[in-house]
Amino acid sequence: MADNKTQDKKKHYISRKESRQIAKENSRAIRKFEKQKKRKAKVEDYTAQMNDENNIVEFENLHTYFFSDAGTVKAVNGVTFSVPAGSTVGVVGESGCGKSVTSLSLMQLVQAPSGQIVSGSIRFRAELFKRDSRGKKIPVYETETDENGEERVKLNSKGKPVIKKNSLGGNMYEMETRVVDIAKMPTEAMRSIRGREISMIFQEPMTSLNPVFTIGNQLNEVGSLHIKGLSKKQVKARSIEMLKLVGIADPEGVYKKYPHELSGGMRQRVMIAIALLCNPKLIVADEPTTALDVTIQAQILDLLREIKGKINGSIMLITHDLGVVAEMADFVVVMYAGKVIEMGTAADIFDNPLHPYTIGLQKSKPTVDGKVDSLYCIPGFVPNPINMPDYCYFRDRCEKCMAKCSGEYPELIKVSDTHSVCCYLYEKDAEVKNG
Amino acid sequence: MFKYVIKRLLIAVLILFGISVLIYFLIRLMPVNYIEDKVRTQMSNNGGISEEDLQRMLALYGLDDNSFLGILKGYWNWFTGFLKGDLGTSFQYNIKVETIIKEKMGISFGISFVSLIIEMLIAIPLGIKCACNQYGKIDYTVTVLCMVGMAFPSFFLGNMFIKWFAVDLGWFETGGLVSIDLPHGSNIFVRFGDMAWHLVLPLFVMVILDIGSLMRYTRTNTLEVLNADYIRTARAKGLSEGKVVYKHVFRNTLIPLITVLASTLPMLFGGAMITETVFDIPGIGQTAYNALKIGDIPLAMGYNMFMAVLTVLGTLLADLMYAVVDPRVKLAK
Amino acid sequence: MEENNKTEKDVVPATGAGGNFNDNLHGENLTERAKVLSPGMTVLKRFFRSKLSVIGLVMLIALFLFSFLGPVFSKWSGNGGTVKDFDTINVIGTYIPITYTGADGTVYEAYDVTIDDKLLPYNSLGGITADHWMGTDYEGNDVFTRLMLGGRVSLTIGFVVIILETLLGVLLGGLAGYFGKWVDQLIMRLVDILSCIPSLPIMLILGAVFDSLGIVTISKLYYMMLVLTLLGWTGVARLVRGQILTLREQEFMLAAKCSGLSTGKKIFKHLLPNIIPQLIVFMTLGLGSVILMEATLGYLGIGAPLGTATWGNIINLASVSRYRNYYPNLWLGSGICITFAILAFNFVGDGLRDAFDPKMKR
Repeated sequence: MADNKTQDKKKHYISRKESRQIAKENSRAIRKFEKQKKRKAKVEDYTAQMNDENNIVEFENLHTYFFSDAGTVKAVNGVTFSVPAGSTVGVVGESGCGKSVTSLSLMQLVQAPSGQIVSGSIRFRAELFKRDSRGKKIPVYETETDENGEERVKLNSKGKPVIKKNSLGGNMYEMETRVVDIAKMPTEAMRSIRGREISMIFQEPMTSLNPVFTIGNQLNEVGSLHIKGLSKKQVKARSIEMLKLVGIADPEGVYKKYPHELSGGMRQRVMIAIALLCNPKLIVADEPTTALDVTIQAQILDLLREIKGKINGSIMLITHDLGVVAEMADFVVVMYAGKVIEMGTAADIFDNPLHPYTIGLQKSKPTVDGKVDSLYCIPGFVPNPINMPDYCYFRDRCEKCMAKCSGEYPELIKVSDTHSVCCYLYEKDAEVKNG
Repeated sequence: MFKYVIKRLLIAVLILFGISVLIYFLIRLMPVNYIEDKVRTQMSNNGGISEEDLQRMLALYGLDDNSFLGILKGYWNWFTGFLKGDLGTSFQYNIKVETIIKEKMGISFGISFVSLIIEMLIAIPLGIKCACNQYGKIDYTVTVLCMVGMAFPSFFLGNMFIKWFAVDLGWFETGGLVSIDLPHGSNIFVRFGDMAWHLVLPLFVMVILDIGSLMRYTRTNTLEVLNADYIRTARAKGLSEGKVVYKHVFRNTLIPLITVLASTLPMLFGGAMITETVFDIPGIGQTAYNALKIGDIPLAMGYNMFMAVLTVLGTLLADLMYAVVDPRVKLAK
Repeated sequence: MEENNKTEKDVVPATGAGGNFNDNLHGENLTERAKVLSPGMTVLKRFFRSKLSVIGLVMLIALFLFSFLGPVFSKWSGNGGTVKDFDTINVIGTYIPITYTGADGTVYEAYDVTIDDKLLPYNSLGGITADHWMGTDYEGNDVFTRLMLGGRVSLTIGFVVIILETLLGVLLGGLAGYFGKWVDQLIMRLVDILSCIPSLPIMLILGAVFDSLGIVTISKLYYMMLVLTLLGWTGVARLVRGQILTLREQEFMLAAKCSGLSTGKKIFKHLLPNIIPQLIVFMTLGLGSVILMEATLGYLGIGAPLGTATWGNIINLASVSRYRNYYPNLWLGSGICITFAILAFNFVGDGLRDAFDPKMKR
């Protein structure tokens, strides 16, 4: 036994040769993906088709890997789910299950160069600027009716055509709605979606704002970048309006302050203000309340819910806190070790959890009423992400493990119209239902 | 802030006092006594001056008594003069030390300043570029080249350059600032061009030697900033990579960089002693080197104190600049 | 790597409801899941992963072999012009044997040799030949041998100075950091003073002082090392003090205090091991600068006693324009050796710093 152990131990070290091999393969893979992100591509190259027209985002079989020196870490390993327009989708799972990486993949913000989207697709219904043959945006001009009753382009005093203003007060351009595949998009094109169509709120408000610029500066940046044609004054007005919207009492004062002069809750509000500035269609909130204390947490969640109504967008909420999900989400996606193991409406997941892991999660949540001696704890650990087994990742921790579980990784099984689960336990139910 | 500066200045005064005592006593221990040498030469030449005359001369300069008390007295004289802003008269040039320093400083400052500007113009963008392509080909090449540059001793590089580019190839001048064959009364442009021609090699040497550390410092700091959360936020806003790097990253990299630049103050004004000596540039470094070699006590003292003051000021300036560039820093202590 | 899969299969029964379930419950089997290396191994592994540090190490080994082993194989003694190289003398005329009786009564046999008086009695400033790979210097010594011997002295100076510097710095910095209050004030002001003094002028002054005190023999080398140490310890002291100040506030020191450890034990068992990585890096990088300082002093002619072969004394020849312009073989090698040594120490130091830094991913 002792011999065996030392032998096992030895096997865990990476030999020099292996290490070199890994480094070589990594650099090849990274170069390939970086080249793809830097390529020049036409819009048609990354246009896609939505499976369901009601969705705003669809993840399909997304794989995001980290090419580390110890081997390839499959942080997101085949994730499929969708965000319906106007809804809040909660993504839950324990730390390191890939939920954050999923959201970063959506923004193309995975820590490069080691982290790369390897395959799969992220389809997003975007409002893109129409471009003319030279790649310029096409402005929409103000029109007026002349004496003859004909419509003509309105000219200003200098004889130049006047560009129509959009709802935010900026220049209006011809837009087109197009479903794009973010996984295949070059970074250059992605930039016009970031902050304008999808914006993101990060976990750490303490470090997510640049310490050397004022709040105003950091807000204005977004306004002047994405809303063309605004004067400096208008940009500032918009920024202050946003600060007011997120419930900051003294917007003009905060506008001039530096991040370190604000509390954590205030900074998170500022982050939300930055996220809201261009009326995005989707807000990705990556554990927005984890670093805050409980009272502030509630306030921020209320705020998020409130603004969702105001901007008429969707929220993708990443959290490990089941309470937050229960409070906020319409749909819930449960992730484990880089895979979706169960998803459904909030009611499905909370009232009728199916996957042993989800059940375990529910059981490990403290409750006020029920008297429990000690909190339930899911045994064991998440498998080493570098060498994922090919059977169900939860097998070694599962209380309901069967012989079949050592076979292939189970497929997602639809239990009802809204509810699916990734476990052999429900294979029969599905067969019965389908057959 | 004001209080902080006052406190720092008081400590600086204490440090400077300590330095002056230390250096004065060391210099007085030096055997090379300029006055004695000079008088002895005269004695051997015309035999007119006796041993007593020598002692009288030494007493005149306050160098006759080499006991501890005598040196202490000498120090007191120097110190009272220093307080009045009088650094004494150079034995060698017979001019006020302040005047010499002021005059020679210009040349040294000019050279150091130009080299610093060149260094910054090359090193900072290069450092940022390397950090953005960490472990890339450019990064490796530049890092290795910088380290090679940093490893060269200045005198070795200087003499190699002189040997190859001045002696063998004859492209540049071997040293000095002015050509011997420069026609008298040439106009300012010709003279300036001539001087610039002489300074090509020294500038090359200085840039090669110092660029590495600045580049690597920029690179390290940029790397640290690039991994910060707020850079991810900036990208999430949809900013272009250029804007992310040159606005968000650069402003944060600048903070430690300013500190380093402020601490180059002694080098900037004090001249590069060895480079100046190698290239025979009559800057303050070479002047001080000669003064130390022949035992020109007031000039040597003056130079050392000048350097010490610059060092102290450089450190203080670095701290103050920190407070200016970084809004988080408050000098409250 | 790939074996990991197999390993897991071997350890965990392939079927059934996880037989050794309880074993796994709270991480008893952690070693099987995570690749755990001892800290020392990790550092070594990371050090050797970097190409530059390996190159640096190879360069260092080469330099050491060159300096310490090289002279053994040389047929010349390069030091101090003691052994002359007679093989290329132009002897003109004839040998006239003479015998005479010395004062002690011994009878000596000698030869009167007339030589071409245009040449010095030995192979002065000889060119590059198969016997003299870098020619010979003015005294007729083999430059290549001198270069190797110079390496011995220069590298030894480097090591001795850096070790002394570190010991002094650790001692004083440790005292300042650990006891604080007036001890700290006193030592740190001393550090301030020493670090504000430009070191080159001080060395110039001291070089002259040594000469006046008649210290010109090998003992000058020791004094020089002493002075370099006294001027150089401030960096270590600052580092150690800063580290101790931060470490002192940390929980494990409180724990050590609570368990009733003595002051000495606290310092030596808990504080010192924590600063050793930084010290090693500092020493490696510092070695380069000490070697540079020795070379600079040598170049300015105030370094090691004249005639002693050190890299600094050899490159001193470059300051003579005749040698600089027409005999690059005399000094080029020494300059290259100095550059090589500094570069190698920097490469290794950098590699060590990265290897020790837990934040480094690669």
